[in-house]
Amino acid sequence: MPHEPGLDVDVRVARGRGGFSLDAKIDAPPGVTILFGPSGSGKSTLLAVIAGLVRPDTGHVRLEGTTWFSSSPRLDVAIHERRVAFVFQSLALFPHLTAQANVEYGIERSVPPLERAARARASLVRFHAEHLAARRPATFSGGEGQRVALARAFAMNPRLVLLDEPFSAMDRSLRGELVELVRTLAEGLRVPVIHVTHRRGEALALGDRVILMRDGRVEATGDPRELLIERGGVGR
Amino acid sequence: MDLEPLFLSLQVATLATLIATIVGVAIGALLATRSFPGRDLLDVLLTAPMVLPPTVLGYYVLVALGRRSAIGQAFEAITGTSIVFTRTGAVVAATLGALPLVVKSARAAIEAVDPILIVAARTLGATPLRAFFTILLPLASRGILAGVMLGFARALGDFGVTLMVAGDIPGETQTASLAIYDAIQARRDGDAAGMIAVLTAFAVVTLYAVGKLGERRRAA
Repeated sequence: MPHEPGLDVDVRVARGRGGFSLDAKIDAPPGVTILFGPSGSGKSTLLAVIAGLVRPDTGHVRLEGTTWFSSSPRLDVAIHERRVAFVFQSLALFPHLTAQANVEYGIERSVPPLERAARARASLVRFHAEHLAARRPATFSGGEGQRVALARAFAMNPRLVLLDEPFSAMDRSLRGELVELVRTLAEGLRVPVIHVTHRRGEALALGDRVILMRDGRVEATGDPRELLIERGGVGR
Repeated sequence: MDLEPLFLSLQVATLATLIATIVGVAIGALLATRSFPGRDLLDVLLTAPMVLPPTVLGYYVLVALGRRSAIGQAFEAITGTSIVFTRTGAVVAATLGALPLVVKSARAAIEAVDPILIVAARTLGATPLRAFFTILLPLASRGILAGVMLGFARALGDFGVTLMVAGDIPGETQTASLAIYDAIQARRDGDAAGMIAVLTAFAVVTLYAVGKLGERRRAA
């Protein structure tokens, strides 16, 4: 069956009685797609639907022609089988594990332990977090935690990367550097990266395309420069 | 001091705590993470042993597991011995004492773990079972351990249900609590004193350790 490359989502999530909290149709080719919109516009719900954390009422979620969710015929691929690297706003680092163990956690169990350790270490080095390897998250600064969370996400060879405002606690220079790094890694992996942000600068620096969301719906899709500068866009 | 009742108590309480831990953590996790019909009822039923008079609880156990009950007869057909008025009965009685403490602690400890961590584990490729054993259980372990220790102390000291279900057979089901009662009744206070001292010391040490576990948990 011919299919569009990348992610293809068309879902509705009901909000109590009548109406939808999310009614969105998006597609995201390999590269960075920015989800931009005010808080409460459904960006996080959309990420949760894609990862399988929230089950839509109707619609479908497909990646590279593989269906992850379909309301008819009924299909719902388990979260752990989707291989989605999800960097949460709260980072969700495992507090009882070192940075090294956090990063290793996402690497397939079939990889031998030594190779797993080496891959995790390489990912930490890439995000300038190798000095944190033996430390636990309670001792990290906000920016350090974010680097470890990114290292964990990219170490797992994901099929799709979802970033929920991962750069918010970083200073400007580091943010610029990591934005560039995420962009390079995403290009290398050739997988879709969906990046939620409120920052226009970040959206412009990272995004190949932008999806503007409002009230649970897609308002516009297109080139970041055109949508965020020429039309004024939303947010900071 | 006759040490046999003390050793028997330790043996019975250890086995009871082991059973209560496995069953209690599983049920605690179920209550903490899943919503299902009858959840509140299950919670009430599991808490009931803490507040029911031991004689009432003992009566229910006799009805459910006695020699005329279906379970009792099946057990006897397989093992050749009955559940009630044997050590098995003493273990059942002690397990019922420990179980609510383990369930309550496990549930509270598991509920205190941030659910986003389990979600994160799942997105990182962990099956629900792997997420449970590698994230949820280690993070809830101190709370669970506190419940297990309290459960063990409770199992060690059970009197009423044990008397109803297992009787007071010296060398077979006469645990330390029962032996103390017998000794006092027979005015052998000296025999009772040693066991009283051991059980008291054990209870004090357990409560102190549980308190310390709680402090470290709050500090973590």
